[in-house]
Amino acid sequence: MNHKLFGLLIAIYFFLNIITPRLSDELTIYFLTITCWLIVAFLTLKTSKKEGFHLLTWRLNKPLVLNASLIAALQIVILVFTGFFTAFGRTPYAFTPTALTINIAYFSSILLGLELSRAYLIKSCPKKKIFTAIALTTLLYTFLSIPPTKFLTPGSPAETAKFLGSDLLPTLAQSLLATYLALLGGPTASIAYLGTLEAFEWLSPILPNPPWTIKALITTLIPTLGFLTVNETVNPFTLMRYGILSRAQIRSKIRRTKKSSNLSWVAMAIIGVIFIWGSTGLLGFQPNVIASGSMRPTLDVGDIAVTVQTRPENIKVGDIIKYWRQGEPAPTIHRVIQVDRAGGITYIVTKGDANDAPDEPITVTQTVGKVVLIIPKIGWISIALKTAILAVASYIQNNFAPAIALMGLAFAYSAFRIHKYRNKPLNKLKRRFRG
Amino acid sequence: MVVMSVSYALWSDNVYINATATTGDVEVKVTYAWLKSPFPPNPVTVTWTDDAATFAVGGYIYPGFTLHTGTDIKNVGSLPARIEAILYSFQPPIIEGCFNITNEFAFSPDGSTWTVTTLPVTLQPGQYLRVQQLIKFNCQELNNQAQGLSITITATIKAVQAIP
Repeated sequence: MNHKLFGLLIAIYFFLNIITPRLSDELTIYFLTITCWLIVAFLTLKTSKKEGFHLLTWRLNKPLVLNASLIAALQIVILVFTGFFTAFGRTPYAFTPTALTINIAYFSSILLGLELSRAYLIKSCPKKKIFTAIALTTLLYTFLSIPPTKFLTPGSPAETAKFLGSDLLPTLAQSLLATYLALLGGPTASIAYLGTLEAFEWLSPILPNPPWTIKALITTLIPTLGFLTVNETVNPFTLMRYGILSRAQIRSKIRRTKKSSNLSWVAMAIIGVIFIWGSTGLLGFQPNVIASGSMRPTLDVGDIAVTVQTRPENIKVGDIIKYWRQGEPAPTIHRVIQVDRAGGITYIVTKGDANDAPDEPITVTQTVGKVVLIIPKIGWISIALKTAILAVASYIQNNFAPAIALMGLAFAYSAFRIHKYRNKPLNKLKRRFRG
Repeated sequence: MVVMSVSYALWSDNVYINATATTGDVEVKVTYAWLKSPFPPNPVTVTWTDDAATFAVGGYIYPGFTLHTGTDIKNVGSLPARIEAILYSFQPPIIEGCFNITNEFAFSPDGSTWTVTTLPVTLQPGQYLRVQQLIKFNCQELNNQAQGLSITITATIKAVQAIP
């Protein structure tokens, strides 16, 4: 059946990506996709039942499912956090009730078809060839997740590098983690990971829009780290059951395991949540890091100016306000030196305390808040972080090949460490034998 | 997380972006942009990113000065996308509102044969839209300031998921 399922998956991939786009009716396209993937899900369930293992009632590995969801949540949080430093944008997905229903049915059916078949394929492989099976399944589902329009679009070397960095590598890393999760925890675990990511992408009206290099780095790094975390935290006997660890390796692993307190993780999570929520403005105020010296001595570089939203009529001369100037990428925080009301429009003139000349007049529609609190120096942390992120992004953009080589080395080093760790008892024996 | 992002977006810009979910992405990109006129002595630079084409022109700009530009757009995602508008922005800001822009649109299923169309246009995965722009400078009052000015015009695609 493995070959039949493999053939069915490839046939559906080409049918949905080559035949259905030629249809002009959008509803038929969505309907055909949903139907095809539900057929895959149904056939997989039927076959697996016939072969003696029930995918849907597979023993639920709650810690693994939780772990998978947390890895996805971490990936989303980091992307959103990056959005605060770079940009957000409106999602292109439609949000009418009909569209939402169709979209949920659409991505749920694809997820169900892909993950049930992935779990079936990986679980039906012999234990002796489990590493080959993980590699091949990862490659197959990476291929199924990338539309042929991206493979076939001819482009410059820079565009090819972008495709590799922003599409192929992240999909490969996510597919590897999903395959590993499907092997250890069944389809529920891989759906917990990919489903969380997909739900965010499809259902959030606003999405972070960082430069592709940063997004590529996060979406490759987090699943890779997730893979290593799962490998380290999962019960060694589960790994033995699937042929990943031998009995001797388990003994070594158990000796290495140390009890660690969860308290530090909880504290870090709470601090992280407060930090992120505070920086969004959702709590009614917004911290702004001062990046220039135009307001010296009131505000210095690295200070944090906390702004609150304010009504236009409450803005008066002497207030320090935050506003957006057309065409500028960052807001300005300057002191109001003049307020004029003419023809029903309020014009505001501002000036930096350290500047000689006033700024161009603005209208109240450009203002976004009034400074109510100044916290000195703390903003240097944010400036340093932003500079580091931009430096990394700039390095990757300007030196793509060395950056990829560095990432490759990091991967290779991690793989080597795992390999070395797994073979520790064997290496010990070899050394003793040689000695 | 959703609430957090929405609240932040109220404080920042709200441009439509490409979404790249594994199960289906809406991804429209500029594949090529060009400029037919003016010819030298005006130095011209044409660049493009995934969602925008930028035309930078230097030299003598005068009332009646006309740029004839073009942009090819392709749906490289896996879902049908609807091109709703082409949004223009200008640098420096004093030239904002100084141009009359006429757009002509042509649709192609594969990038070889083109038929004239109007917006909004639905592009299935792999299909193309060509936009030809006639951008005419018409600011009399900026006559002196416009001399020797380098101007940049950016055309950004507004694309959303096409769904019944």
